[in-house]
Amino acid sequence: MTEVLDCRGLKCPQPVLKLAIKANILPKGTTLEVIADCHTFSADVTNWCTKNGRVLVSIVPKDGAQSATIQL
Amino acid sequence: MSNLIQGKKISIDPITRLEGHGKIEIFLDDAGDVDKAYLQLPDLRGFEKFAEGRPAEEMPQITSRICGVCPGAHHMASTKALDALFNVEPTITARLIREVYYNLHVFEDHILHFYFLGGPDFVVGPNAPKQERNILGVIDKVGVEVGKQVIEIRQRARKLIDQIAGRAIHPVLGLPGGVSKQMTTEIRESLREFSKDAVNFAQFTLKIFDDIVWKNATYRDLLLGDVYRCETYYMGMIDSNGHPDFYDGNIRVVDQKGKEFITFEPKDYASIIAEHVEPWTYVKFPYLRKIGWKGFVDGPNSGMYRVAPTARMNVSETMSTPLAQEQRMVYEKAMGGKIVHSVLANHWARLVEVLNNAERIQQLIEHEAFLAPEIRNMNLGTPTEGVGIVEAPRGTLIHHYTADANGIITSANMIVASLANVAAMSMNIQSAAKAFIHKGNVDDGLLNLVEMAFRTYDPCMSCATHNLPGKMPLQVNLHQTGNATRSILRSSDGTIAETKINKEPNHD
Repeated sequence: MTEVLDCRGLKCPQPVLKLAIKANILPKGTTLEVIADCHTFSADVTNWCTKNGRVLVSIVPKDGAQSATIQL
Repeated sequence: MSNLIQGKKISIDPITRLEGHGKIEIFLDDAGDVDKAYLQLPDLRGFEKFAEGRPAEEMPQITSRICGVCPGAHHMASTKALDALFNVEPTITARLIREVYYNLHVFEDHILHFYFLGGPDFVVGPNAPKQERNILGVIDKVGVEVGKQVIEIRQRARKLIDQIAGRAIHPVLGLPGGVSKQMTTEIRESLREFSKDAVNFAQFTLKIFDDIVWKNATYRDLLLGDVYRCETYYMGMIDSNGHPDFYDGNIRVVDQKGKEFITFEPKDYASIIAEHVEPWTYVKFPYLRKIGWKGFVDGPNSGMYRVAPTARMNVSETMSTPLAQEQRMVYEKAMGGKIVHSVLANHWARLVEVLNNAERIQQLIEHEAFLAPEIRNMNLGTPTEGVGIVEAPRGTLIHHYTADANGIITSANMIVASLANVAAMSMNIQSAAKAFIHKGNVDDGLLNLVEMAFRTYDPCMSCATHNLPGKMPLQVNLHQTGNATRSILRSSDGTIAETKINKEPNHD
């Protein structure tokens, strides 16, 4: 089951901070969908996944925002 | 300033040239001499309570609103508390950028105090007409060209703060594990030019202090005399070499002889410091837990401790930069040794720190990692609890947060620098009032000499009021033309009293 983290309305760096917090709570291997509309989100989440060894499965537009699917 | 003399009570309300609000009340005995004098702070900020329930990452922005004069101090203490809360170490580049920003902040804040707030008492004179005891009076005394330099150097400092931190007043720089913006070569070049001029300006300001204050026998007597003096413990942050450090380090406490009482890590502050509350004030009084709160008294048996520039000199060994160290040696020799109890010496020590800030910026910006792109460590842990301490311009500032696993703040505690000095300020005010007011003879100059006892600490009363004893006192007056006026008063203990006043309301 995919967990969803809705960060719409939050500005950089809050979406990635929320993601970092969530990543510490959820079990390893969980799939997490993060939705955000901050314009730097794509770059931020890609960067975060690279630095922290998490798998960025996809990042696609969704309802005027960006939806990133990450395997923790 | 409105000075009301009613029978045996003199009120200075509001007191002036400080951040925030306050008033002094002086009570005379039957002979017209001073019996008691008090410093009162009539406003309440209460940031700790409404921080609860907010996302932790918002705290550096929320707490910088506590004060428009020292937002940088709250921002940085809060950012460091978030580092600890998220268990993340900032990158070396982030640390350098934070330190440069913070030294800029302290530099311009200290300059503000010397030329605009505290300095006019000396540069213009304590007994000068009150309409001249301000920056315009200072400019009149030191010359228009110097006045322009003061305004220009502060303007340049604030512009650099704006470029580095996003805003000059409410910064958006600090993030857990780093900063929000990489340094550029252009800003570094501006910092090079600025810091060179800032060193010259700081030396020039120290010379003004020497020429106008120290070489004046009357002022020198005030600095060295017993009226503005008390012997307390002192607290300040030091680096691993025993230098005073504004941004990071352990906290050292020394006793009245300068002997180390304790040195502790920021995370252990709660086991060292306790806070005393009184029902008559919004201020909390921090004290050394091991010694205990003994009221408004100094000496080794009273847990009262002081912070601010003189305290930072008292707890440290030497300065971290060469020119500031030279000036510190001049200061210590003149003041009679390494441990200084003179309250007014804060003015001098503050200017030594201004020079240190300017030199530190010169050192930091030449570090090889200053321009590096690694400005954040995103390896954040689950938030739990964090303490962040910096030396605010006016002393040791502590932020302590706890959060749930989702990063929502569950409690916040702030021990603000001015709190540590408020009890001493009251004592110093009473001492000055007793020394200068006799047989009911009082004038504006004498009352200013009383005010100088608090002004030397550069207190920030906006930051300092955190305690709400009982309920907020509230008075509601109901007016209706042609009918009785009602006045309803809720006291701080919650009791409500109502009075009817049978007269027409005053619509002035």
